[in-house]
Amino acid sequence: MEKYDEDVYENPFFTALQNDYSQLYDEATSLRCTLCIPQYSVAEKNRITEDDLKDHILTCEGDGSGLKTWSGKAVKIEDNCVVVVLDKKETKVRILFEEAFYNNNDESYQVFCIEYFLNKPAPESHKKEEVTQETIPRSFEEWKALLFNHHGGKRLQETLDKQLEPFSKQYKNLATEKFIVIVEVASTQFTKAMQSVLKDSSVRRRVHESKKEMDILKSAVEMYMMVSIHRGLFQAVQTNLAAEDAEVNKSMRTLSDIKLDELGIRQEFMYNIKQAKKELQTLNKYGSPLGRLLCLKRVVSHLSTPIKNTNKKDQSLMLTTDEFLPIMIYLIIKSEIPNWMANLRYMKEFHFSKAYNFDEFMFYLTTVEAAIEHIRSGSLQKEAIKSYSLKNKQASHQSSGATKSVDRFFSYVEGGDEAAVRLMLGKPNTPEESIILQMCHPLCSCSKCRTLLRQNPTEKTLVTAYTRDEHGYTALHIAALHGQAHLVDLLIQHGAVVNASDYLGYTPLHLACQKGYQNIVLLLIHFDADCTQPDSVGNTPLHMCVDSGHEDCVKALLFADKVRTCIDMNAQNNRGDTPLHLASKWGYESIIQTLLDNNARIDIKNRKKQTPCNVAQNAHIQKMFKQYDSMPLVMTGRQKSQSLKDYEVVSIPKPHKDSVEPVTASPSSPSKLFTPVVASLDQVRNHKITLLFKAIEQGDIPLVMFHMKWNNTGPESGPSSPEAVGDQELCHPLCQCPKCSSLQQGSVSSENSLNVNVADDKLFRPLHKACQAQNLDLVKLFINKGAEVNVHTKKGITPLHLAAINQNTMIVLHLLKHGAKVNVRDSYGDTPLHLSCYKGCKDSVDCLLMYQAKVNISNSIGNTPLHIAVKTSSEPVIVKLLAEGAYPLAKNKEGHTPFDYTKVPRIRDLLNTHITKKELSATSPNIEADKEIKASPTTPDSIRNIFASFEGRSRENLLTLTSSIKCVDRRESLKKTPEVNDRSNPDLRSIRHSLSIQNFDLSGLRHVELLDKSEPLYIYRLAMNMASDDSETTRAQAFAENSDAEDDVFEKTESIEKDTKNQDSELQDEHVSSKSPTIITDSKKPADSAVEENNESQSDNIITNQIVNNNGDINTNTE
Amino acid sequence: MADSGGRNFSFKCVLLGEGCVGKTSLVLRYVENKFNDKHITTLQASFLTKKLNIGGKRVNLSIWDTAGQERFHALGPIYYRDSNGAILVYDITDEDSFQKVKNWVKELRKMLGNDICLCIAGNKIDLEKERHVSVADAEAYAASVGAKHFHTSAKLNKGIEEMFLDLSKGMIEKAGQDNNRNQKDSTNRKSVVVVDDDPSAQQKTGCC
Ligand SMILES: Nc1nc2c(ncn2[C@@H]2O[C@H](COP(=O)(O)OP(=O)(O)OP(=O)(O)O)[C@@H](O)[C@H]2O)c(=O)[nH]1
Ligand SMILES: [Mg+2]
Repeated sequence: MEKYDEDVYENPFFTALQNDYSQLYDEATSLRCTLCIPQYSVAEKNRITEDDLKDHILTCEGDGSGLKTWSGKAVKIEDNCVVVVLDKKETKVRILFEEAFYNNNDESYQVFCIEYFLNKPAPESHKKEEVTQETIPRSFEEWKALLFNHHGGKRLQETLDKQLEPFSKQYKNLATEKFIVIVEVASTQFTKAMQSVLKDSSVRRRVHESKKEMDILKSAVEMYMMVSIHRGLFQAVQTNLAAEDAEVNKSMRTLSDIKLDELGIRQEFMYNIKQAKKELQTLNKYGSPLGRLLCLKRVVSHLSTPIKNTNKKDQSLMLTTDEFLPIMIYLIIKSEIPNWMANLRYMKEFHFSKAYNFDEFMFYLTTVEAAIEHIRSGSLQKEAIKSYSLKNKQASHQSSGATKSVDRFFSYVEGGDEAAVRLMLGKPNTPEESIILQMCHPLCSCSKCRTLLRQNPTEKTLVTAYTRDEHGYTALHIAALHGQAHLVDLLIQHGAVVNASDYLGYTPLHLACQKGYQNIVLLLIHFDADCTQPDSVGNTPLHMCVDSGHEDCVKALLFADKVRTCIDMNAQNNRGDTPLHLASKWGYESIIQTLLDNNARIDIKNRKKQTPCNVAQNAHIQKMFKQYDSMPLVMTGRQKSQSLKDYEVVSIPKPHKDSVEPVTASPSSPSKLFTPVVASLDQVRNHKITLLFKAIEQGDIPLVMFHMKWNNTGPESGPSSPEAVGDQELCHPLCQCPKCSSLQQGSVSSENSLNVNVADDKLFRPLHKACQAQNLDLVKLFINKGAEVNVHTKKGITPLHLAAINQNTMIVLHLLKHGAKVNVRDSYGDTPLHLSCYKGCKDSVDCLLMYQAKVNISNSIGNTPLHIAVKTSSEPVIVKLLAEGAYPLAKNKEGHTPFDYTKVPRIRDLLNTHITKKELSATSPNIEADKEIKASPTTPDSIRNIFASFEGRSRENLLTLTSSIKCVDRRESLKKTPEVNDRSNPDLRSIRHSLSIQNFDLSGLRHVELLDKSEPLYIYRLAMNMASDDSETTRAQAFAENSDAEDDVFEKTESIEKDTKNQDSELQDEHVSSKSPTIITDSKKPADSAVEENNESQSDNIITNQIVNNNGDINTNTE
Repeated sequence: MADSGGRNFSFKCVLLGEGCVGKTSLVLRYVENKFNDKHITTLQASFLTKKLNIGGKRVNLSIWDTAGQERFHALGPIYYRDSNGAILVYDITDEDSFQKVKNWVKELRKMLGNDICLCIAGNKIDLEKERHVSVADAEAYAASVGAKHFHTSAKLNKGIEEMFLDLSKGMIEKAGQDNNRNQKDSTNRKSVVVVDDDPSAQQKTGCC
């Protein structure tokens, strides 16, 4: 509502009182009476008598309760109206505004400007008219009507449109201009528009009447003009403020889980806040700054709606600044508007009319600005922590002993008080690894082993690492949330569940990602946290850290992905958004670049059918996508047939046909692959690297040594040299804990001269180049100088890959000798063995197999080395592979076996003989366990077979089996399934599972824990309990329970859907880390009793898979 | 409309002070109208305006309450920017709150110089018995920094009206000075909006 205003000093009614009846006036004002003055237009038309005046002076009765006129009539004031009795009828006369006047003693008295006389009835028509007059247009259409709904209005509109049209052509370059330029351009446009509008005579006449009309006109012109040009204009503003917005978004998203009470907002406001949030989320729909300001105003009016069921007079529920600011902070965080800074500046600088409600709007904008500033300052995060501890303290005052210690425990974790946490947890209740190693066997119960175990007694306290708080957080969650990296290790030692999820499905990894604690992310990954697990709305940890703009965490996850393929770049959450969508929406440019570099797809559409490019807020980002899109082939998704292309990128002299695919569809632009995309390193360094690599390519050893500033070919010495800083010394290559960062700084500082592990923008290192150039001397030199052998490029290519594809057996051997990991995969899942087979290089194949290359490993399209060897028809290699246990019936993802790839009779014979041999031996365990289960989901029988064969083995066999399991390098021998299912649906099972952990009854620790899969080391504990109890019955009982469950597994496997299975295979990884399958050693025949708890069967399901898996490995190793 | 030589002023006045000294209470008391209780229809009390008419000079006073909690302290500049007046409130029973006022004065003078009218309010004088800030000290300090000092009580509605009136007069005076100065060096101060009612009226009078 535009408020009515006039200067009372100019009102004839007032001047009459003041001048003609000054005595009455003085008397009334010194008594501080309230004067009611009919508005100018009404007062003007009437002759004013003394009686009229006396009827408009209100005095208080002695006690202040009742009001009377000077002439003695009773009056009330209600709903902003003066209520009088006229002709025995109650009449309401509206108060238009009130003003405080001051008498000669500087005492105030009120003056009400009223709509009509109190003693004369108002004409009906007049009344209605006045009411409508005071509202301003509600919709854009109404604004337009206001401007153009008069004679000649159409022409005016045309003139205006013509004027505004060229603007949109101009704006194209506007985004690159300075902000002030944009403002000035628009402001000039506004002036021009005003000029044209005021040329219209009827508009001019209307405006002449009052300032108020002028204000409305200005607003209308602004509204019309800005709506028609805002698209380009606002886009330019957004692009101009992209960096600031990204920064704000980062802070905002990091806090996205904030709660009302953490901001000190009372719950009573909850309903109003919900309404206000809905309104606020429409902000970007309005084109003009005025439209957006009106939206803000509506937000505020939602907030100030009286709250139901509370005493209206209760002033404490008024929306004061003390409430308003925190509420705005809350709303801004929760509104998920990705362009606050742009909006703020837009409303501030482009609101040219500055007429309507200007002060009020400025207050709202100031509050918004203050709120954003507060979010940005980061003090909120600290506050949240404080309020949490405060709450805990309060809770601990009131509650009983048990919860008390729980609260105390949580606040210790939160505060990072390691000593206290350790004390409360007691000693780890699982035996130390070292003890296990000293034992004859993990299950052994001989007297020697028992004493060993007794030295490490299990202590129980009121809290454990599983204890949960009211969010379903475990201590590990809290540690992740508050960045207590040093506690992560401790908690996990005490059995904390790495993948436990809270009520919302957040794992500790989710929280660490959201809050941006890279060190914790790395630690959790190190402890095999599941990087793909979605929360209740389908967000994976990658979503979380992309969402809150933590680039370092994104990189940490991608790093983990290199070590073991474990994340899905293109996972979609419940809204269908991929991480790339989120990065694009919030405007994190460098994260977008990182994701694109890692093959994130740009063509996935979310639920609203938007691609990542569609959700971009500014031109910078759209440009990034467009550039990327126009790049030929490079990274537009990974096409199957591209798998070997990367090796072409690194310029292998001999081009080869892509023959991995049964259906040949090889696109033909490999040379264009090498479009430089990133140039993140500074130029000088880049140049040096280029020179170095050139020298390597040319095999010029002296020149290489010159570039590297080496004087001799001996190993580098001295602790300061970066090469000496091995991976072992760092907690993790990317770790940022104080210890590691100082180590890393050491290596950074000496990077002035090139480091032997220096990488170019594609992460190629000297060793890669040397392998590629097939220069054994250089390879030796680099390794001698401390080059890391297991480094990979962005595409996951290691030196060993390069040596293998170049068929350089000597280099392959040298690398293997120096610890090159043999089963490492590149981004297409190919191991060096795949590549050697592809090249048909028997010698290399021999070497690789000698170093335990896995013979049945499949790449990302499911091809095993045998598939490839068969296709290239290299007989010696096939023979060798078959001899090493290659499985001729392994299916790739298209369901083809190696058999399908050849028509050569000799090869078919070879395969055939092998197939029959295998079938005779009636075992098929030497397969990639999870792969195979996947390939034949409908044949649980095969799993039964595995078990049958398993149970048939002698004890000795099993002992060797267990010991070999112990030595299995989990990373090498277990692989993640490279294909990832659609994760957009929350996995209720996993949430339920973690919830079940929460209900974990500690009193039943002995038995229940044995089967609770939530504890990775439970099998150990089982073993320990067995041993210390030395009770045959307990043991048998426990095993019987296990066996029951095993039986159940078979039915399960059939029914569990594919994604669940994926889940399981992930879980399985986690469990194998505890090297624990020993439990099966003694397992009896499955009994028929049913398993009551889903929980139990689940845990056993895992064991089953585990066995299958390990079994597979062992066969490969022992055959 | 008749020419009265009247002028309209629009002032922004910000309240600063430690948490719980009574800023919100003061504003609410000031704008409260025991006869015309608007708060029944709206709970909004964060942005308040009051119209004053001081001898024919019309003042539209926007009163900006701020959150005094320590956590929001850093946001002060965003709120007091472009203010014409500031009321610095302390609680007479709380020595610390008076120290805070001193800090605010320093900050405001540093950031806004003499452009801003300052008022210091010693609130809660109904709790005279528990007074911890001596009247003499407070008044001497106020005088030393060119601020008026007022003794107020939001509870008893004491001293509030006087304080706002005095501040308004101060701001009118300052605006007048600025206006005169502006006519000389023709730089327009953004924060004071002096609006003539009618452009034609201005032409007729030429000056006020
Ligand atoms: N006795 C007395 N109490 C008062 C007076 N003024 C305010 N209070 C009380 O002081 C407390 C704080 O008042 P507020 O008005 O909320 O203080 P504030 O300065 O707005 O506080 P923040 O918004 O936190 O900065 C309330 O309990 C008021 O009732 C006063 O003049 N006398
Ligand atoms: Mg307050």
